Amino acid sequence: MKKNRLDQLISAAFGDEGIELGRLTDEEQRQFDALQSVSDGLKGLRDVPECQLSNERLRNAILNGAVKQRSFPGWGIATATVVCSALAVLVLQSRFNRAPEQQQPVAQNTEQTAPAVKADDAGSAKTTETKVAVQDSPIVDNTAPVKRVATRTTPHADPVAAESPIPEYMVLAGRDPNAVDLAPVSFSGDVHISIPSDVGTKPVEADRSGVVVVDADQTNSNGAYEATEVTSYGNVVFGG
Amino acid sequence: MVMSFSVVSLVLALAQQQAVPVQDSAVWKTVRTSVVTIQNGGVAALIDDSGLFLAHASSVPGNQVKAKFFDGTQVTLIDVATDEQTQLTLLKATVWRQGTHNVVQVASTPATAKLELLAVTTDGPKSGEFVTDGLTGVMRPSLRYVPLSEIRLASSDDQLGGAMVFNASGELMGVLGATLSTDSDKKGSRSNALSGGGSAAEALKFGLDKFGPQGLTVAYALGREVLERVVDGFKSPTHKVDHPTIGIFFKATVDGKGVYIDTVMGGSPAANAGLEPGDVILEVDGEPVNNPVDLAVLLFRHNVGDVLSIKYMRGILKATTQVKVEGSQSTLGL
Repeated sequence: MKKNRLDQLISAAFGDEGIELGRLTDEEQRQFDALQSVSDGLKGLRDVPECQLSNERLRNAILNGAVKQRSFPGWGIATATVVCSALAVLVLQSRFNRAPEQQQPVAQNTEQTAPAVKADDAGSAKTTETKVAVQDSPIVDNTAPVKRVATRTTPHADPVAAESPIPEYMVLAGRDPNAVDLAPVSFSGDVHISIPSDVGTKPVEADRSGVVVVDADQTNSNGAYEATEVTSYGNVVFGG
Repeated sequence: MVMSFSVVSLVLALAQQQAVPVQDSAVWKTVRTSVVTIQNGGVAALIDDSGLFLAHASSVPGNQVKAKFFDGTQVTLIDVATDEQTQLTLLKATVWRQGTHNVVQVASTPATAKLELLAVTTDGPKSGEFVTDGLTGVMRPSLRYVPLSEIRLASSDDQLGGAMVFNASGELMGVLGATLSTDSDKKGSRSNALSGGGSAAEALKFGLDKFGPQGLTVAYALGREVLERVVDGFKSPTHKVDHPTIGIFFKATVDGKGVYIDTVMGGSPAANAGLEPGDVILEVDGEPVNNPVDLAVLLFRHNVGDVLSIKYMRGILKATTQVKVEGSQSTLGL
């Protein structure tokens, strides 16, 4: 199958209604059905707020599972099992054209292999003695009137900053319109999931192409300011 | 068979997540005497033994607040200064007895991926880990660049804003400034599920609904580098923080070459050096500038008083000019 045709099938399967596919051959129909089932499976992830999705996080969640082996040796096996089961179901589903909604629990379960996080490793932490209050220690009287310092930032605000609109299917599939082959799912003749060999072995590095916009005027229900991940700095205005 | 095993493993993973005894950790014993909870607000950390505290602006509900150490000691704090670029606030105790509590030190080494951390919220310590360091952050409304660390917290508490983030040595690694948007309609159910009030299935569902694929809160903390600058400024006699600036707004060019100057502030160093809106910055000190993040990071890392040699293009003409980096204070004339 030609690459252009495959691209058309991918675009149509991932929701681009402007694509005219015309008459499909048997092979194309099979390919299209398989792609569509993957697309529907990914859409099953929509339970996650879209703002929580990023290429990197989604890939790690699905492929890595982030289970720490040091906490329990069996977790490696468990992670592999979960990933394998997800792969098996995806492949089976594409072969037998199962209903798309059957795929959803697989994706969710795979993501939920949440890491057990420990920050209280006493062995690795320095222990510092807690100081005891000293009755005759000096007392600082700060009751004098305080002139409040407004440490302003230059330049001032510019409301122009905005992110480029990105087609929804590209976000879901981990594809940036300006980037190539970012998605962990690749399509080449038949549906399969390509797993980068270095997943889970390298520390995750900062992505210089993305920007986190923090809006001090919008506060989340947890008291923190609202952050938005922008996959490209294309139209983001910086001050400096 | 395989699927049932997977489900069992997921439930076990969640069970393990609950079993973290953060309260007994050595790092918590270290930092608990340095942090106060602010009445009707967030938390603040003691940064100077004269009674100076650091807090996030979102944690401070008024100009004068009551606060309490985790050992029960009460203090009254006055809002002295806020750095608008980072939204960090300096508080001062009205009466302070020196030597009674540990002073927090800003960490001297950067965070690494998977580094375990302790975040202190109004509810006490929470465990978590660093995901990435050196993320590009832009603060609205100032639009200034700030380095951020992405962290994940094993917590669904209501008050995470302004949480103080420490490494295993009890050094301050960051201040939690923001989280990804959450759906407030679904608040609460995860806590119930994870504490035995609901089924594992509910916990799974809520984890997906609110906290993303990993079932943890994704948050962004102001990085160590910027924290160091702010703390140093706050501890200075003027309590002011000077962020390096040349007085421009900029963004990416259409063709991806250089950085497009969108606005030049009147009277700023850039204006004085002859830079104008529409100019495209190509190089700074001989180093090519390919995108706005490069330039933002470069400006951030310069010191007030440095002189930059900026090569730029106006139309088809190229030119070079010298621009002196000033502090945000002096540029505004404050």
